[in-house]
Amino acid sequence: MTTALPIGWVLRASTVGFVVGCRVLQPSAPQFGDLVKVPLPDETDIFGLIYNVQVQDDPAVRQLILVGDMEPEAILDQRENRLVPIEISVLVVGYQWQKQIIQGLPPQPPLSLDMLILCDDADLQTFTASLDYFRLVLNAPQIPADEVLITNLRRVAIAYPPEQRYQFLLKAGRELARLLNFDLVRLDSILRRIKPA
Amino acid sequence: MTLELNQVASQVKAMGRSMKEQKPIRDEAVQQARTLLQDYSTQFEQLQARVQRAEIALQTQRFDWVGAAPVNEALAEAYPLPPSHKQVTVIASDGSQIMPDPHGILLYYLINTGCIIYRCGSNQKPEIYNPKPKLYYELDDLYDEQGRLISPGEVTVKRDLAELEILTNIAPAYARETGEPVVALMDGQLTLRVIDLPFDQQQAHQEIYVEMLDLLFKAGALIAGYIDRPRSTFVLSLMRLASLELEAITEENLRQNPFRHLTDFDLFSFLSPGERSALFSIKAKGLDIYRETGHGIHFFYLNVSQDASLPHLARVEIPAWLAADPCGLDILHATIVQQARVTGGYPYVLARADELAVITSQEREAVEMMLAVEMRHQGMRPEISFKRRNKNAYRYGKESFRL
Repeated sequence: MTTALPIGWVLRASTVGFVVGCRVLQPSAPQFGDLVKVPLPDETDIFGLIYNVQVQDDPAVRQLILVGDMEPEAILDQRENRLVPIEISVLVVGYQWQKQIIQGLPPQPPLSLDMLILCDDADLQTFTASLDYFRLVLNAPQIPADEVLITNLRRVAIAYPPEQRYQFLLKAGRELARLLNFDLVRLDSILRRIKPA
Repeated sequence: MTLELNQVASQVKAMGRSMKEQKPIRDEAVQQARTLLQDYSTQFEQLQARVQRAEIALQTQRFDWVGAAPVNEALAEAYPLPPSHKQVTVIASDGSQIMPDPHGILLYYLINTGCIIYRCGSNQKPEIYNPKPKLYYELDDLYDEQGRLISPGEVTVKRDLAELEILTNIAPAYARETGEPVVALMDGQLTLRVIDLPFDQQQAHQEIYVEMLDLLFKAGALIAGYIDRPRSTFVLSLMRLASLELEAITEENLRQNPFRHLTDFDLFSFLSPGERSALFSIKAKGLDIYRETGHGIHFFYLNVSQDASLPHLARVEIPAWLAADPCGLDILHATIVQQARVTGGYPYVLARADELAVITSQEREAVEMMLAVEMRHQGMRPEISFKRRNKNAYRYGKESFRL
C-alpha cells in the first residue's frame, strides 16, 4: 500500500498538525499538497496534507552564498552530508484505525521521530473514497487552504484510472459547492482550477 | 557583582586613543623591517651566520633563540598563485575533547575526531569519516604513576595524535586508489605541542607523531598545518638579527626588540591575493626531533583573501620533504587558496572537519546525563561539587532587572 522509504521524521506534533524534518529535498520527496501518512506503533496511520516546506536558515550556507565561489563538491556536501534542516509542515486530515479510515482528528498526535511516508495511489484512492476531510482543510487557520486543496485534488485525480478521474473531480466539486455555498467567489476560484481539461 | 560596563567604556576610549597614537610608531617599525627584508632578501649566508650566532648567544640561557631561517628563496619576493591542479583529493581532520573536570560527577575525558575527504574537480559528494568517539575512564587513562591527574595539555596531545592518526589511516589509501595528489590538512601547527608535559612523555609522544609523519611521507601525501590569523614573529626575529652587526648579536642585545609590537603579518601584508611568501624553516630547539627525522618544520605565509585591499594571511607549516618538492608545494599552495575561496577566507575542508569533530555544550550535557543515569543503575549517586553547584546557581539562575 505504501512506499516503504521514509522521507522524514517527526520533529514536533500536535493533534491538528505536525512538522517533519528531512535532510534534503529530492524529486521523489513529497511536495506541497501531497497526502502523507505517519504509521504509529499501535497500527494506527495518521494522514495529513503537506501545506508548507521550509528550508531553515543555516549560517554556513549563508556564508557560502555571500562568497559566491561555489564548487559542485561543496554544494553536494552541504545538501547531502550536512544536516541541512528542511521542515515539512503537515495538516492532519484523518487516521486509519483497525482498517477503517476516519476523516477527522486522531485521538493522539504522532511522537517525535515517527517516520513520514508518502501515500501511494492505492492509499490516495482509499482515503478519498470519502471527502469529509475538505472541511478540515478549508477551516484550517493560517495555511493556504485553497491552494493545498487544489493541488491535492489534482494529484489525487491522477491516482485514479483515466476513466474515473472525471467522476472523482465532479464528486469533489459537488462537495466543495456544498461546503462553500456561502462564499461563491472562493468556490468559483477553486472549481476553475480543478476543472478537468 | 556584574561587570560595570560604564567603567570599562572609558578605558575602551583610552584604548582607541592609544591605538591611534601607536600607529605612526608601528608604521615606522614596519617600514624598517621591510627595508631589512629587501636588503637581506638574498643574503642567505649572512643571515645563516647571524642565526648561528644567536643560537650560540642564547644556548646557556633559559630560552633558546626561536625564529626563521632562509631556505634559498628570495625573502622579499611574492610567489604567485600556481594554476590549480585538475583533480586533487583534500583530506582534513580535526578533533575536540571533553576535559576531565574534578568538579563534575565523575572523572573522565572524551576525544572526538572528524574527517572529510573532498575530491576537488570530481563533481562527487565529499566523503565523511567519523571514527568512534573515545571515552577514557580507566585509572591508567586518568592518572600517571605518581597518581597525578592527567593534565589538559596531555589530553590535547592525545587529541592531536588522534587527528594525525586519521590522516595516516586515510591519506595513503586515497593516494594509492585515486592516483591524484593528496593534500592532508590539519588546523593549527604541524608539530605536536608537548611543552606542558614531563620530558619523558614529550619524547614518547613525539616519536609516535614522527612515525605517523613518516607514513604520510611514504604515501606521498602533502601534509600541512594551517594557522589562521597567525600571531607569529619568526621572520621578524630574523630581521632583528639582520638589523644587528654579527658581533653585536649578544644575549643582552637580543633582549631588546624594536619589532616587539609587530607580527609577521605586518611584514607580509604586501602579498597580493593568492600569493605566498618565501619559504622559511623554523629554528627552535624544541623542534629538533623533526629536523633530525627529516620532517624539519618549514612555513610560508599565504594571502587567502580575494580582496586586494584586505589581505588575509595564513601561515602554512610543512615538513622539509614537502618544502623540497616544488611541484608538491605548488599543488598545496593552489589547493589551499581554492579551498579558502569557497568560504571566503578559511579552507572549506577545515571548517567542515571542525563541524564534524566539535562537541557542543548540549552534547557535553547529554554525555553527563548518560553518565548520571548509568551511575544510578550501578547504585551510585552522581553529584557535582558544591563549587560547581553554586557557580551554576549564581551564573545561570540570575535574573536581570531592567527599567
